[in-house]
Amino acid sequence: MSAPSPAKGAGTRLVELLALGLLVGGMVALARVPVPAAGGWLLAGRNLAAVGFFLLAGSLASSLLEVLRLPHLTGFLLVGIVAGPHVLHAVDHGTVASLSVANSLALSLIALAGGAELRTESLRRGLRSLGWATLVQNGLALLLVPLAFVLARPLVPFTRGMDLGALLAVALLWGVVALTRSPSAVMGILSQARPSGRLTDFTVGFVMTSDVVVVVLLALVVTLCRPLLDPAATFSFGALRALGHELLGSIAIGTTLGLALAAYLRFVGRQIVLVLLVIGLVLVEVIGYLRFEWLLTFLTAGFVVQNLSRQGGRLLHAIEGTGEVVYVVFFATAGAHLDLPLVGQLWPAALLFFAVRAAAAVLGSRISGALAGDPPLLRRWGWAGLVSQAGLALGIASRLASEFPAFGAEFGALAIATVALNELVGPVLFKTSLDRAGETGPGAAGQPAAVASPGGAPASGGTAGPG
Amino acid sequence: MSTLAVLFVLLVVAYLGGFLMGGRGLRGRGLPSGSEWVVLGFVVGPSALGAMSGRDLGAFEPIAVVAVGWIAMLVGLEYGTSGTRRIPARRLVAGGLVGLVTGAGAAALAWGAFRWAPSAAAAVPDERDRLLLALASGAALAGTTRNAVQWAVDRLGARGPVTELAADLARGQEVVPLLAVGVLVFAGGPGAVRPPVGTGPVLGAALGALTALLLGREMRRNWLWTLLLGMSLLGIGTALQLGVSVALTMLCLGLALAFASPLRREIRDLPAWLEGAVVVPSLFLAGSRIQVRGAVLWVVAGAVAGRVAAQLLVAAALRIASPAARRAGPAMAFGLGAAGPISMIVGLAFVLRFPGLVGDTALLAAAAATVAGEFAGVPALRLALRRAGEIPDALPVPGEVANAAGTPPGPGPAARPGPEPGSAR
Repeated sequence: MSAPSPAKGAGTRLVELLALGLLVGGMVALARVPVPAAGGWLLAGRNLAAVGFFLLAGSLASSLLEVLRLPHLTGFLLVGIVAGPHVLHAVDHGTVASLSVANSLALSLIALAGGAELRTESLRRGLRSLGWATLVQNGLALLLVPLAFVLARPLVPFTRGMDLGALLAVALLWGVVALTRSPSAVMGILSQARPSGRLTDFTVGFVMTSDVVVVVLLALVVTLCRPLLDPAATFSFGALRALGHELLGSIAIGTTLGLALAAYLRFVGRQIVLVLLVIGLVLVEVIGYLRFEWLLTFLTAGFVVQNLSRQGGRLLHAIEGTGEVVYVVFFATAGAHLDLPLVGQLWPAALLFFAVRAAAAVLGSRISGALAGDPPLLRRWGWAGLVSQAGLALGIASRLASEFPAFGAEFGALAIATVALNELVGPVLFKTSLDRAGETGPGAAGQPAAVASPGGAPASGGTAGPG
Repeated sequence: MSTLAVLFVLLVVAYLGGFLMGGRGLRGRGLPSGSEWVVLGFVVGPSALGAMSGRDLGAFEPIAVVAVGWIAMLVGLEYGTSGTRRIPARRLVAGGLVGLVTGAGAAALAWGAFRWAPSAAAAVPDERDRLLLALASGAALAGTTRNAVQWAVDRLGARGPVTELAADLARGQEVVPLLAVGVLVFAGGPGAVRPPVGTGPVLGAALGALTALLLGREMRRNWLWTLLLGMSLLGIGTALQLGVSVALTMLCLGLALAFASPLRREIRDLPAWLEGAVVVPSLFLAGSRIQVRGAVLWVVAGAVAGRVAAQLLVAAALRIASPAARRAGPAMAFGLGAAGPISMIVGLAFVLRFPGLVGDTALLAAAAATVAGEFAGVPALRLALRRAGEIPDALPVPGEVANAAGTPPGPGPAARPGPEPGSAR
């Protein structure tokens, strides 16, 4: 573990292990004994206990996994998987579904922090790298992943019986799903390791901007593929026009929000946690109701605060103060969502697509690095932060599943299985790459000498509590 | 109003609460009992303007339960201390006795109201329900708000032995209504699958001890927040599922954590912001849940009258036992009558646990005592403290009080011992 952390003795580890065991045992027992509560109170009790459990068990597991130099995210995910409805059943399906409602809060904080991590200075310095990487990574993934999909047809049962045009269309749609990255995983690792350097800047810049690229490419590919999959459908650019409105509107709202947030931080600067709650719980719904892209809105807002005011550091500090808590619950819930039996059924195809996508990222990193004249470090490790996938991939897969019901359910299931692998392996790869690149730890440029808590957040962070 | 709008309103109220009670800036503003938030909640709630429907409010019941739990945990964390000063055990015991007498007086007259008011008796025909209702009303009225004393310290610069005595008694009283909630929830709950006696306290104490163990000896603020948040949600959720009192469970968690952790002083410093952000929306939510039922108005009146009668008895006893109380004069009797957040939280706990007549009556009684205490209790406390010579003639400039308490400038009222700022919240 290269993140700054106090050395823990065997006694402390033992206490943490025992506490983790107690918590897991307690939750399993609670799920099995008959309880007097019923109806709404039973559900409320389960939800509250599950949030508390994920928070505690996730923090403890991540602390214990530090011994193995694994990222905290892996600990959060493992707790969710083990306690979730597919293994120990300590947290049931209904509770996991209820907790997913809080995802918007987590994602809004992630988007705000992601935008605030994008500094024009770094972007300008790495513009050439980012430009080539965006072109090469996405182009290569859109070429290799669909090709693998077509070649691996025997492993994908729902493609049997499809004509070549339809198969190509489904493969292309699969390629778009493969383009998605995970801003949440990147921000989660950043929150833990607080890295600083060229690789960090590149990964943050690429992953945050890739959301916009994916949304645009998705609209394009769906427009192109629809006539191939549905003979009755006609070719239309109407969806692209709507997309343009959505993107421009989101950026406009985000700019306004960013300016307002900067003014608030400058002139009031207190109760920031509550302001973030209003943004993450209320504003998300309002922006969604207006049919704008709220992730892009918050990304823009964070970017504006960072680059058009002097309040970026303050915003990041405030988000980091609560981010750890949000990340634990978010990723533990994501872990509980992982459908392990499904991964077991579809593992040959999922493993193949995982490997092809990772290989495309490695190859893309080498090619784009050479074209942009990147330093060797970036050429060697630039791909590692691009492997993680999470909510956005599943969201797109789910949208495609509902748009193309003929094969949507199986398509969605394959996406879940593949994303599960990327979700588990990706953070480990990114964390390892940052360690190897020397961008984490006290020696890294700009690294504060903070003391990590068992939850992973620095104790010297100032705005530690919700205040 | 939609659920989203209610959420927004609650967040705004929490925001304002954080400012009002957060220890900086606006501290000392607003009414000491917080009754303005209760009234605001009532006015916009389904019983008055109907801007928030009962269905909208129902969606926020889990938040209300969490608020009840957190406030109970904060009471447990701070029990026995006033800022950095330890409250002598005899005063804590005296405070507990005052709470018991006050609650018993309120419960007795509430019970008596069923004998004297046929309409109340007709509305609650079952004897067991009457007893539960009377005891719940008594529990809700068993406390004195420390906010009134804190308000006198912040706004009026009060300090001295009477101020200290009032603050200590209020602290000692706080646990009584929460303990009563625990007993009544257990006794009044459904009997089919009842957990063993003491499940709530044992659960709370175990979680508190585990928190202290995990916290260790080194203060790490983020880790503390993670632990407090995680353990409190786990405790509240488990208590809800087991059908035991959330308030009592969380009180025990706070007590156990404060007892077991070597970092108890640092832990107590943390929740000031949390208290403001949680108490004010809780008062607002409690106010919005008030339903005025004509049939039980006599019961409420009986409970409030019983509380006043009990306070007169307490004041008489205090005059005998404490020279400081003698100096404060008879106004001290009503000075201990200010109710506030704890009463409303207990009322809210009953509404959530016993929806219907029992809960509604307890909450209405708490609201009546809170509002009446604002008009009678707070001025009486001010009068008593002024008479005891503990309020300076010239009002201090807000902000200077804290400084005066921390580093006394010299002889005079500000240099006399008294509750520290923040100590009697």
